[in-house]
Amino acid sequence: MRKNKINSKNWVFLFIALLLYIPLGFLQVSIDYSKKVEELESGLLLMPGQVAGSLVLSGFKGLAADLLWLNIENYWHSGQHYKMLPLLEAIAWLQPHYINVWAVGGWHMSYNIFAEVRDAKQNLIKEYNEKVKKLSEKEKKNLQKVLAIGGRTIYLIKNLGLKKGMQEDKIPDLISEMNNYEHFLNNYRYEKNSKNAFFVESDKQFVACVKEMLFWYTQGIEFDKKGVVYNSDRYDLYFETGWIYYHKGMDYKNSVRYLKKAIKFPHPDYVDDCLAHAYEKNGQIDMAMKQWEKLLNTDFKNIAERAIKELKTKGKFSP
Amino acid sequence: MKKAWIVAVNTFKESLRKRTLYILLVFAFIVIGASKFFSFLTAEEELKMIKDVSFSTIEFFGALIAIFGAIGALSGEIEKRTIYTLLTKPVTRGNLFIGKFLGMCLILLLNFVLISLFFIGLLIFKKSPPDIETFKTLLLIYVELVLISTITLTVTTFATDAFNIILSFFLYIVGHLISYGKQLTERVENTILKGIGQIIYTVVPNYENFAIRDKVVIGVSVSWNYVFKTLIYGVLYIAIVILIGLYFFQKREV
Repeated sequence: MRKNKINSKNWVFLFIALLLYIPLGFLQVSIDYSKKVEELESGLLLMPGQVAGSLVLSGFKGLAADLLWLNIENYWHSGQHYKMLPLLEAIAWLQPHYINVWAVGGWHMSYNIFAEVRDAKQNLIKEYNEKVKKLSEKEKKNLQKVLAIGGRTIYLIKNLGLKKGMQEDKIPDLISEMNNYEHFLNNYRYEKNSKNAFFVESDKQFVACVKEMLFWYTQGIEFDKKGVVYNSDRYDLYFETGWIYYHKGMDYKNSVRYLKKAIKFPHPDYVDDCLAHAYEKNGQIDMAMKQWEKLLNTDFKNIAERAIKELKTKGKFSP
Repeated sequence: MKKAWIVAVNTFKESLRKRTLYILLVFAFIVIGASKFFSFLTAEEELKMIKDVSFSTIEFFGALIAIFGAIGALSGEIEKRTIYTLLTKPVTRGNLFIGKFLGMCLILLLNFVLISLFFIGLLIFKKSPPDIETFKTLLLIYVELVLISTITLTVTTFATDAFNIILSFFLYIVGHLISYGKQLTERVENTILKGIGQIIYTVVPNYENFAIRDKVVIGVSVSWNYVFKTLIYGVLYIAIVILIGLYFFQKREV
């Protein structure tokens, strides 16, 4: 009799447990909805690498991202830049809302790696210029086209991102120019170990260097743009992209495009300041004035007053 | 309830005598302490890494303590046959099971508080005192650990220890992957398969609900509404597992 009582009590436990699954199911639907609204969902992931993969399996995505980040640090310090690229992609994949990855990744590519690629050719440029000085006029005439390519590419290596801009619409022309040089140099006939060999081989390196610089600049921009897709409701990555266009590429048209988007979201005053400069550089003086006027009630008041005055009198303020 | 509480306090005291607990605790301290070695990174990156490592350590070592502690709690009594003595006293199986559950909650709380205090101390040392989001994350991790422990305790009532360990770890991994599974089943066109997928999604504990740490460390703030809903989810799931545990424990021959 007692056993029967216990058995029936047991079934009640099981019955209540099963009943509780109903509110649990509804609650899970509600939690899923909240996850979507608050962007707490994890995207469907495939495994980017063994370490990351095994950690993702146990729900340690942040830790996996950190380990990859440490690898990036290693690659950066050992100069293995290309290896950084897939890792940055993987981290961004694991934590797409981690602004720092996009911002630092884009900056690494457009600035640091860009500069490293350029600096790696400084000694060769020095040697090249010294050897050109020692050439006779006749030799110079024979090597006219080769030396012209050398001159042009050295100019680009020294000035790209500093005095010469990299406007988006002009990059294809530059790459095409480099491809033409590459084609010419590959078909250029010269004797091995001759004087010509040094200049031709150096030119090939310079052409490759310019192409690589353009590659890293655009990669940085593209990386930031990808970040914008995942973080389109924040000013950060619009600003980062706009800043690279402005400062590195001197591509003011695109800079204005992105900075204008940045100020649509809560942002610090320096974003407005940057947009004002970009407007001016893009030839939109009226817009620049309006933008400065917006900054009159902020910490940028003094600069804004000076900018408005100079724009009115000289039509130029930004350096 | 008083009897269950007495069992709970005894379970807690018994667990304190186990060396495994201290070893896991020391490991957790070492791992969290080691996160200080990231000082070569920028301050922001370092802080993110400290938080990532610490939250993950609290959860991972907490899960180990939850699983191994819960396995020993009930099966230990059966193996040592002390359960006979207990059940001859006016202690029902229900009292015993609930007592073991409460005892595990206490031991988890002690471990959790110790490791968390160490982590919070580290944050204060780094001049970045914990914000409310940190506490929300810790709260949800604790509920997740109690859920893991309860599931293991329940499985102890009908399965061997070896099977229990495998099942608990399996559920831990699957529970973290279940959200991805749901995304996959949503793409399935077959209605029956979709239905089965939905049932599995509801039945398997969704540990990913509690995992807000990845978002919190990158500055995403989680609403209290989400935290409360997840807490209710945890409590409901724990209640279900306890009821199932009571069912099997009443039936079990000791």
